[in-house]
Amino acid sequence: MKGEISLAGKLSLLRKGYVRVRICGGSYERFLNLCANHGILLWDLRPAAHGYEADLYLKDFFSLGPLARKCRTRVRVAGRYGLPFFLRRHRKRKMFAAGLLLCGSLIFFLSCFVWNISIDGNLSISRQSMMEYLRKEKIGYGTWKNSVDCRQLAADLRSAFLDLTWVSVRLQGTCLSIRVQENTDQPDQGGAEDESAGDEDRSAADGAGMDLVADAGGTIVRMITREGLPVVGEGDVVSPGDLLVTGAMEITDDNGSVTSYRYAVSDADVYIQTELPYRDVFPLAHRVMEYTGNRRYGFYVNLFGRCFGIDLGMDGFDEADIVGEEHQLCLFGDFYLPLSAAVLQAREYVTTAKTYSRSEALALAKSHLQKFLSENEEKGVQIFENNVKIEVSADSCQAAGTVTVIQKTGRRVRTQKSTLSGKGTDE
Amino acid sequence: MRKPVYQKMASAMEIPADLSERAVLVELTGQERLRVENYLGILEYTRERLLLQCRSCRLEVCGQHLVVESYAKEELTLCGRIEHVHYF
Repeated sequence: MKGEISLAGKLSLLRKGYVRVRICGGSYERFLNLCANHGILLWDLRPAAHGYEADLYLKDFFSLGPLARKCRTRVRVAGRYGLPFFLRRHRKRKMFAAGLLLCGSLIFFLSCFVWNISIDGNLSISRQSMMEYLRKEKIGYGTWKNSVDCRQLAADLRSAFLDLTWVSVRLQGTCLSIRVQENTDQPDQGGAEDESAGDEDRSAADGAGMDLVADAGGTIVRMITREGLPVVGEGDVVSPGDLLVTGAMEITDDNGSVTSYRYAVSDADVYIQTELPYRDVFPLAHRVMEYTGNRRYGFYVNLFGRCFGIDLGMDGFDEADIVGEEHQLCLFGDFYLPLSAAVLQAREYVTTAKTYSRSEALALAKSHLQKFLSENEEKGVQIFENNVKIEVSADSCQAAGTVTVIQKTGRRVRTQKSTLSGKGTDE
Repeated sequence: MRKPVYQKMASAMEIPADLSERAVLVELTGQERLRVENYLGILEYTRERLLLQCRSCRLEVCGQHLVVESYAKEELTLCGRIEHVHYF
């Protein structure tokens, strides 16, 4: 029976209690058959010295007497297992039972609070700023779980952080799990589109149009208009704020005079060639941090937000980095308790003054420039020409010039309505 | 050999013998596990041999380190290294 028993079966067995008996003397085969015929289950039956040993339930043990007498066998208890025996054995240990009860109650009480806040999916919004917001909302470590309205908190987070496109808040055990998704559109173009998105809807509703104006100056190299009337063409030079595509389209009569305007929401891809200024100056003299390899350790315990630490000589270093990872006590995977501990490690370092050589300074300036170009390329900007000159003087290195790029431009603004009012949009 | 009427009826109705005649049912899993139903009782049990009384025969199981894992009125489960099963 033990060989194929499940965990639930084992727990049930221990709850009911069972005994191991030694059967000897008389006709023990007959005794076994009588047990079976009286519905007494025996398991782990093994031949032992002058008889057998077997396990049986505690309640069945009390009905063995008449059967043993009939077969003239003797039944001796070889072992007692399970909760009834445990309780009997510890019946005088009241404080132990009280401790167990108190421990269980304490764990139950602590499970009513939030002891861990997990934030996943945030890229540009830091955990610190989200925690600051939660603190303002009076949610933090030790907050009563019933006071946290997950749905409301998710809505509040979406309205507080406009970059969040999706927020999920749920309580798992004592852990408040916040999963977010941020808007991954390019901030320079997407932001403008987002701002104008509301205006676009409103414009469509009230019959007004939207113009497209340049948000950077340069020469137009490519232009694709999907909606609206273009007022500039390829090769034109525009300044920031210049009108690119108008949302007001004139309707003329046979004489060529304007009778009314039709308003539309302009939509176009306009690429301009423009120059981005670049300047990077850094001194040749700098300080370099070198680790000596000496390490010292410390330890602290965080209990209900209060820290108790043991410093094993970490203050002995003049200059040192202190790093540590805090581990919070967690039961059953998601039941976080207000107890955490960390081992701190202080790594000593010394700083030495150094000076970049000419070649080192040139390489560093080039790497800074390359990083600047790569960041722009990631934003969708095409690098057309690089006119940056790097000069190394006696005490500093300077990289300055312009980078010619081709980038998308255009942001929507409301069309100024003409005195000849139109009949509305074409929608 | 002439069969009794109830056997003929059971055979005609395709009732298995373990139900109609309470014939011993032996299920052997590998060489290490044996389950027996429809037996009457244990006649002899040692580490090397288990002898069961069935309705119409006796069943002998020989092997090494034989342990009765569970023993009830309906079913007996035996574990150990089973070497042969013999009816007589």
